[in-house]
Amino acid sequence: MVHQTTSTNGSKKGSKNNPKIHSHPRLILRLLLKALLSPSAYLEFTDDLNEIYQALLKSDGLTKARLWYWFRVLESLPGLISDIIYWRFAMLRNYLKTTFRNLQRQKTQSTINILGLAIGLTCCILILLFVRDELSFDKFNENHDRIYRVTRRWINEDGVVSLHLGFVAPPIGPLLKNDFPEIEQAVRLIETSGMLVSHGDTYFEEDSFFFAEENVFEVFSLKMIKGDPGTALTDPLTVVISEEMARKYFGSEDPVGSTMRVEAQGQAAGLKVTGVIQSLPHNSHFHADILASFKTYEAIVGDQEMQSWASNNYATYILMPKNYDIRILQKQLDAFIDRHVDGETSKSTQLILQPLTDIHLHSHLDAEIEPNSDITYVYIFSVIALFVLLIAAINFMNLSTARSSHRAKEVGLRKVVGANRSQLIKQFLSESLLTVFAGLAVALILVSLLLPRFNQFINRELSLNFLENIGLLAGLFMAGVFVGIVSGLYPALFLSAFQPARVLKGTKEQRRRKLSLRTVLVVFQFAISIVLIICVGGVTSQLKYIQNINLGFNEEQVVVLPSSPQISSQLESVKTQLYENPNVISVSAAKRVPSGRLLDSAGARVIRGEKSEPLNFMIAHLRVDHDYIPTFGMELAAGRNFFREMPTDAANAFILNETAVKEIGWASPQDAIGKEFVYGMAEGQIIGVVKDFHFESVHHAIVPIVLDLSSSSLNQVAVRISPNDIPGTMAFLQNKWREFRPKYPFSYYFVDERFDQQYRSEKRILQLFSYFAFLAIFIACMGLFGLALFTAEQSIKEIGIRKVLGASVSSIVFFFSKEFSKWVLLANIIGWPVAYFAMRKWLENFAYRTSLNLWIFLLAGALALFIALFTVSFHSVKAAVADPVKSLRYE
Amino acid sequence: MSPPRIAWKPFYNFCVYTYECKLHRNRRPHMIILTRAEEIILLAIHKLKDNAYGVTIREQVYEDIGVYWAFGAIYKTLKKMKAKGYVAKIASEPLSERGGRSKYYYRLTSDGREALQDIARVNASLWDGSTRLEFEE
Repeated sequence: MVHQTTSTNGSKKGSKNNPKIHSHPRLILRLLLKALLSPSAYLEFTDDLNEIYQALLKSDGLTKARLWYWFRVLESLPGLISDIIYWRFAMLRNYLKTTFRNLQRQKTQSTINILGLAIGLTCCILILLFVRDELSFDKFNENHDRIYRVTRRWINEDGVVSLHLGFVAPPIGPLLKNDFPEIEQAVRLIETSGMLVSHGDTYFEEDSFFFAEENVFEVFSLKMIKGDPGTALTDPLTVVISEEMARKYFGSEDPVGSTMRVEAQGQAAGLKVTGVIQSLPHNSHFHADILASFKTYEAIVGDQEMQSWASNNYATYILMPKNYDIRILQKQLDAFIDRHVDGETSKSTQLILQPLTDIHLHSHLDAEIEPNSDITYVYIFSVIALFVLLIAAINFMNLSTARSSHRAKEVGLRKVVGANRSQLIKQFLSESLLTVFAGLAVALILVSLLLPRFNQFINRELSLNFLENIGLLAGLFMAGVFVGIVSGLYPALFLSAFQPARVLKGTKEQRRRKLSLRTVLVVFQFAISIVLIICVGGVTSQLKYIQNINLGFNEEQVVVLPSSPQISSQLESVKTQLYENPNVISVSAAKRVPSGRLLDSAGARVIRGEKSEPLNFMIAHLRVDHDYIPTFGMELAAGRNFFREMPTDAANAFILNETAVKEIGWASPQDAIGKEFVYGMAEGQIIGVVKDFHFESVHHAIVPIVLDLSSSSLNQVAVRISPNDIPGTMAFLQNKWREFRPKYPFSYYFVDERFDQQYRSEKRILQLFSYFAFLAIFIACMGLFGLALFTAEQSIKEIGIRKVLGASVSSIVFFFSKEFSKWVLLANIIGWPVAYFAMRKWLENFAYRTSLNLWIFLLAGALALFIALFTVSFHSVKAAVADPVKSLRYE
Repeated sequence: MSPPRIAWKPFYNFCVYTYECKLHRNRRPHMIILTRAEEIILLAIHKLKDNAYGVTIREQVYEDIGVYWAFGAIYKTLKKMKAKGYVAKIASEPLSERGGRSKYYYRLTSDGREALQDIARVNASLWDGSTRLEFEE
């Protein structure tokens, strides 16, 4: 970097300067300038400065000269810097202009590419939003990492868990707090249904009515809008309601201080509203709109219930100190059980602590406040999102590079007129990056458009909130940059390395490789599409099967209404009144009705020979009345139904179902008749065996059931009505229920509709799979499109020659299609086994399944083939009708 | 996000420039209104005939207006005018005084001459030919 100067030292003037003259100007400044300016500008500036500097050295001496130099450079800095910035902008603008122009020239290709990427990204984003939401459940609670739920499980003698409930007995909460000082708070909640709530003239039957202890606000982050959380639920007969409830009952007036009336089971109470909370967000494992004080509940049910260890209906949560290792407490709980529970030990029942944040995704107990989701879904969907992203990116790269051979001529020309390599590289990169970002932008727009519909579909309230999802968006942005760079790099490096002469002449060295990466990817994508299509077929077939399966009883035209104390006390008279309507065929009262849950059970014993043996499996308990079996149209396999005339039936008669008989080990239903049977506390004989019927959904196999007569706790009424004049009959029932159950709004459901609803989740899955299948096919077609384009480009000459030799358009198209059909066939071969295993696995969830028909597979394969050929035809036809003169011209 | 202070003015200028180019499709708008700096430097180049390069232009400007401008300002204006086509940058033969590099001379192009004519006309009409202004009390 030595600056060659003219030696002026030997001047006539004779300098008084320091003999160690720095005859070249300041090094630092030069470095600075060199860094800032382009080489020519730097040289120009420094040379000009040097000219004057040398003169100054002679006339004014070193110091003055140096000072001058410094001044000139420093004063020029702002100007130079602003100049640089201006020109950077100008260059950018130029790049953008050329990029736009380039992209515009390939409008269709670019749009297809952008669209493909956008769709893939949209899918990925939507799925990831869902996953994020799932993972965020209950985290709105400030203390979410310190809250645990107490659950209870029962183990039978073989060590198998027979029951695991998310609710525990009432004494457990306070006892835990008492025994373990490390527990900061313990709170119990109980949810009741069938509460008639009113204020003034507004009556509603609330099914989600919670009683909560006063410290619920210290455990959960329930934001209190009005009222004081410290005292809101301290007194009995107080209630805190959500904003929604406040609007429902009080309109726009302030509810605090007013009274709400609550009635249930013939009892009524007035509750004072002491606070209003914000409604719980959707990502909570429970939603409480009404929280009445626990003391109210205690007063109503009495001390015996509150001390009972058998009534496990209370959701109990504990708050631990920060960073507490919950295993310490968990280990001590067995001893706790042994200490306090009378009648059972920690061998048969245990308390298990669940972290609050685990509940939504990992808890699938036999009883939960609300149905939970599963972590498997989160995994599956994350994987799917990743796959979709990967495939979209790969397709994008494929399509962009497929076009690059086209651009070879353009690149050659540019090089001839003087573009340097780095410029070309930058340009290709910026083109590809711009396309990627366009794709991202379109994806974001699509997401915001589709979000409402998506939310409806999955029943959530997802939002594309920038703040919440910044991680997601940043990640996608980076992914986009990565894809853009990688896909721009290939043409950038590969093409810009071309020798212009060779490229312009049109000779390209491209061998057609049989198994190129592109082909593999396309085959893979098609395989996935085929798998999805088959899954759609399989799920549809299974759905049809289970919807048409024989339930074992007549489920049509049975309407179920809630009972009331008034009805229960005069059951026979009620029935007589109902029979006055000719359309009422049969009426029965029951506690549980098919399409509901079979949650009652007790231990059973059976007399075999001399001994009374306990049965080691659970038999579900159905409390019924005399008309249950006829009302539901169930058939008896042996024996008889309950008779009104037989007084012993009321306490000592049992009816089993066929499965129970089989499990117990009797040879045939007839064998069971007359045998002694002990169920819970009751002893008696088996008087009949009913043919198996489906109670819970068809997902579950039929379990052993025992029916016995009960006069209490029959809180539903089932009415079989004739198909004639259903509206008229319903009106009649409505009138009657106004008498029987005054003030309550009229509510009912039909058993067959309820059964259908159970398959809602299957229907949802079907829809989901259909969407995915469609998406997969679309993406696979994109990939195929790119591949076909590439192949077509390469075969232009070959086709030209064939045409010249007399091949017809159709034969060329056929030849083309044959090639691709092979690949589709391969995709089928890969896809069929995968689909088969996947469907088998899914069907295992069902106790009753259909068989997988071969024609589903064939149909999927044919569909894939058809679509593939259609896509390829775009290019094959174009190539086939191309003028051979043009294709062979550059030979 | 507002751009950093230092880049605001040039960015603004750049936007205006872009807009102008777009409006007039890179053809000359009817009247070229030069900025004062451009005018001064173009005139300096004109006066210097064939000897206009960084150093001499700066001297000439000083002679004309009495202030020494920073080199940076001069180079910046020259660059912009070269981009607009008013000025051409010509490399001389490599000189030994410059260590074997060439000096870059600036010369007016026809567009530049037209621009000067335009601005002369504008000045004339603005100042009504007078060199002193009469202000009323």
